[in-house]
Amino acid sequence: MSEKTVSLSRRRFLGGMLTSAAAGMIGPSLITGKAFAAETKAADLTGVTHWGAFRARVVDGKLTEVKPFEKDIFPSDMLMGIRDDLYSPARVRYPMVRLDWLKKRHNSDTTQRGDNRFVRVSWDQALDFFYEELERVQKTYGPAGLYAGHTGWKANGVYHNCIAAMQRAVGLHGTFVKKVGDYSTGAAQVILPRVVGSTEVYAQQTSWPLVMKNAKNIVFWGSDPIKNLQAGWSTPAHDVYGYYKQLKDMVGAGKIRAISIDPVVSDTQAYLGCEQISVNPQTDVPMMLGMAHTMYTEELYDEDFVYDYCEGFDKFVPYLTGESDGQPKTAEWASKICGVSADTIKSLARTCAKERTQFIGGWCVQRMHHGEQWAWMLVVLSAMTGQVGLPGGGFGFGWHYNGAGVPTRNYVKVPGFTGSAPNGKPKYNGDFGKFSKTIPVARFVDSMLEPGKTIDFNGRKVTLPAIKMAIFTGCNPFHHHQDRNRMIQGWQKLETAIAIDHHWTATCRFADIVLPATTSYERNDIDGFGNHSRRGILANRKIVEPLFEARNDIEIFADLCKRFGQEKTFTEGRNEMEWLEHLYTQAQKGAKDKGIKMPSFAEFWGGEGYFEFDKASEKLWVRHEAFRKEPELEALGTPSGLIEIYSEEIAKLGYEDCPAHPTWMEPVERSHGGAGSKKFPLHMQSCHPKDRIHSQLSGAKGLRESYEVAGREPVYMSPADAKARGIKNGDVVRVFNDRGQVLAGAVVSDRYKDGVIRIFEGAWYNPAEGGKIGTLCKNGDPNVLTRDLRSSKLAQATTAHTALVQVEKYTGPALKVTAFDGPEMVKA
Amino acid sequence: MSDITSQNRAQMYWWLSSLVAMEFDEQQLEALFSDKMNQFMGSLAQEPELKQSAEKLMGAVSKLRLREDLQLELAADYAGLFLGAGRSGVQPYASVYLSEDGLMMQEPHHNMVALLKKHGFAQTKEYKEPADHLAVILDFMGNLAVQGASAEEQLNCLDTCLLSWLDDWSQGVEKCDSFGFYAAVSDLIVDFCRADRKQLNS
Repeated sequence: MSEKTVSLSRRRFLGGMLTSAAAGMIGPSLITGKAFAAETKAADLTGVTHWGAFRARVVDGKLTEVKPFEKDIFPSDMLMGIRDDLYSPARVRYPMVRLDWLKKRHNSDTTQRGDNRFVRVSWDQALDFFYEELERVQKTYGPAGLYAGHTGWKANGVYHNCIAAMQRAVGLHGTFVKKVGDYSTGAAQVILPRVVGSTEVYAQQTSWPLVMKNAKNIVFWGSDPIKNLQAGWSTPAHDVYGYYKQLKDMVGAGKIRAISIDPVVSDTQAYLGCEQISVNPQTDVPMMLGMAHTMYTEELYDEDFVYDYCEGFDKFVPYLTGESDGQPKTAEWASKICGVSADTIKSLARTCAKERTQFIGGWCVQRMHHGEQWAWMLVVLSAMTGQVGLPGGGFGFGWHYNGAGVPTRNYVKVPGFTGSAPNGKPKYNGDFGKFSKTIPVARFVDSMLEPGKTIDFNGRKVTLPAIKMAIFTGCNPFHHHQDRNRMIQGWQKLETAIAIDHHWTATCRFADIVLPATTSYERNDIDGFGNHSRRGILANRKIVEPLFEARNDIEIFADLCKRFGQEKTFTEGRNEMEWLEHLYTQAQKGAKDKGIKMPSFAEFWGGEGYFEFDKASEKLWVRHEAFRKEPELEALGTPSGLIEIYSEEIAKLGYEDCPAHPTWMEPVERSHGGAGSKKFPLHMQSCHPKDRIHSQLSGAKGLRESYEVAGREPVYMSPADAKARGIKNGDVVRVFNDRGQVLAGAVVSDRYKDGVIRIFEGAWYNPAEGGKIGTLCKNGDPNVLTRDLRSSKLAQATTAHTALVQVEKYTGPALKVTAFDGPEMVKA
Repeated sequence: MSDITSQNRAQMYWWLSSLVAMEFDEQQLEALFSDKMNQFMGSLAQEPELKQSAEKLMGAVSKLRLREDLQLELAADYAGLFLGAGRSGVQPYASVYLSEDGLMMQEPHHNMVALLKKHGFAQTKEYKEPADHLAVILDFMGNLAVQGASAEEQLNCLDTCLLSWLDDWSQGVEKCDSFGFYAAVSDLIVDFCRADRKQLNS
């Protein structure tokens, strides 16, 4: 075409026709002639996360660089995910409503849930829907139809607590079904109060300096602190890694012996360079019984301690010796089940009984069928050594969490925004009827699928409510709950599901109304720095203005409350900064009583935004020492006040799956020769991830690319297991069982015992066909494969670690992971 | 370039911007289905460089007329493609294609903000998308045209802010848009930008 024709024809097609035709089409201008706001000075602002504190370089309102907070000398690599998290294409940008729900509301076709057909609505419209649904459900079904009890790892900060915001607001409208327990420690936190009078799992532990001074042996039983201490509920200071560094030196110098009982070489074992006893999965209890049997028959156990501090050892012994069931729990017997030689079992028993031994229990082993038994038996084993309450001895279940073992300073806590409003009364305070008000959390899908069913739970009868509407904020059950395909069925029973989040989690994708929340990087807050250590208080500065139409949870729920006249009760008349000042000032008042001089809020916020409690006030402390020293005055909160090796109360319950003393019961499925292992021979671990906090940061691209394999979540397996299946490093493999199937990227590692594979929990669920039962998950979400079955009638806890699978090399069509809503094509 | 041509080019850019800025409301759909719009698209189709995409769009508009619940369905297409609500989104941001990390609001975004500022513009507060959203850049191109910016400046913006990633974007839309309206729109945007580049170069 010549130049002439170009310009001629251009005149032709542009000749004024568009002006009239497009009059109704051209929207308002997106840009104006108005001048820009003045550029702001670059600043390095502090921020808080579950994986540590940081400084963010902000230039002209944009986050350009993230550095660890200077007081954290062992920062987590996860900090590199922050920028990606904030600017991720997977952000929820606008309020969205599922198309069919928008058309038909609560009568929508729920089989379409998960198919990702959404339309944008205005905030007002979305919140009107939310409010109208609350009204409808309360009027139609009463409080038993509404579930707003599910909670997760809300973002850090004492004020912007999405859980509290949701429960305060929804609670001002009407009562609703709540949950009890959690997915991390469900079995242990129910059994341990009956055994030692405390949940133990989240407790501070004996100070590390005392452990290192007194312990001869440290037994890590299914616990991986080096991996897991990166995370904390409040912002971790990571000081605890300094102690592990010292421990590593002591182990290296032969001054202390550390033993990891784990079928996999844990990060802790690798770091410390310590010993491993590679137990078969799910057979820890037989191994422990074998140890107890050795201690008992060789008269190594501390008879005085067991007599003075424990209840019911005499009722446990007949089981141990086999007098009650014909099977002595010898090391030889145990060895056949657990795969550890009888000599090793006996030798470890002797060592633990004779030398000061600190037992460090993790949470993996109690996330199994009959998981209560392991937690109970670890206490019994430790009690038999007679070392409970001694420095460097005894048991603990929270060593890998919240920097346990770092001594606590003289401190005050900044209180938080609470889940119920002072003087707040619900508009609807209806009758739950035959249904229970509270359900054990891991049974909430049962509640959708089997409403009205009565189940046993820790001595109570629970009648599962018929949930019709569920609300989730900062919480991703489509990550943490077991058996995805069963969940899809459960969700189909819901009339309305609401999800509030800053990323398009799978829970958002299965919701009817999705509301965009801010990340903690888009709001001001305060958080504790250091958990058990109580090292300080740190400001979380708003780094950038909320992206798109994201709003803070508190604003969202205040706006919801406006619709039923409770906005003022909800906010108590304070805005963000007024709240922060109010909460901080309460802490400051408390500080005076403890002789701590804290700056005023204006000085704190206007200054560094960091206040540190006095290191000299650190107090060395021994767990259970008070009980040991004063067993009567400091009695445990058990019926006897003592360690209950046998529980009269549990005996009375008569639960076949939780007898009155620690007992070995075969799990419903088990690898290494156990039930179901012929068809699906591999035990699948779904431990807490190394590079995420559960499913958080899975959307952070750079971080994800540092560990993903073949563009998806990795699955780790032993060289022999890989070889037998013709699998090589980097292959895409299909992991499957009767419950589901996922694709993952193979990592062949000699750290894995044969017959054991691992896919870290938290990989975003990415169904090939959204909402279709049985569909292939392209991104290796292990909870597609796990079993949604109770630990026992006692705890009704999750049993994610009772899951057998098979693995094969994937030969089907290439399926790209789309969970993160990334671009289809990115220039290299 | 004559004022009329500049005005017309601006109108064209603004119209294309409106096609992707947000979902259509009823009024916009009515205008889209009007005879005048049909004639206009017909005249576009007489342009050799735009023939294919304009005809594709006309076909998509005809198909759209027959669609049930078309406003909502089209809005759902839009949300799935451009608002992150779908599994296979096609991000309409330059940053996602041009930055090393594939994130939103990276260097190309900052550059766009600076470019707007240089020409005395700012994005309106009401529009919550980042400045490197395709619709903002197209709108800006229209403004450059009527502002009488030099051909060199306009070419530079076209090359660095649009044509550097539009092909990738449009291929993505083609792949992900099962109904096909936005696939047709994306084709027309790419073709028009190319044709305009040629025009500016002449």
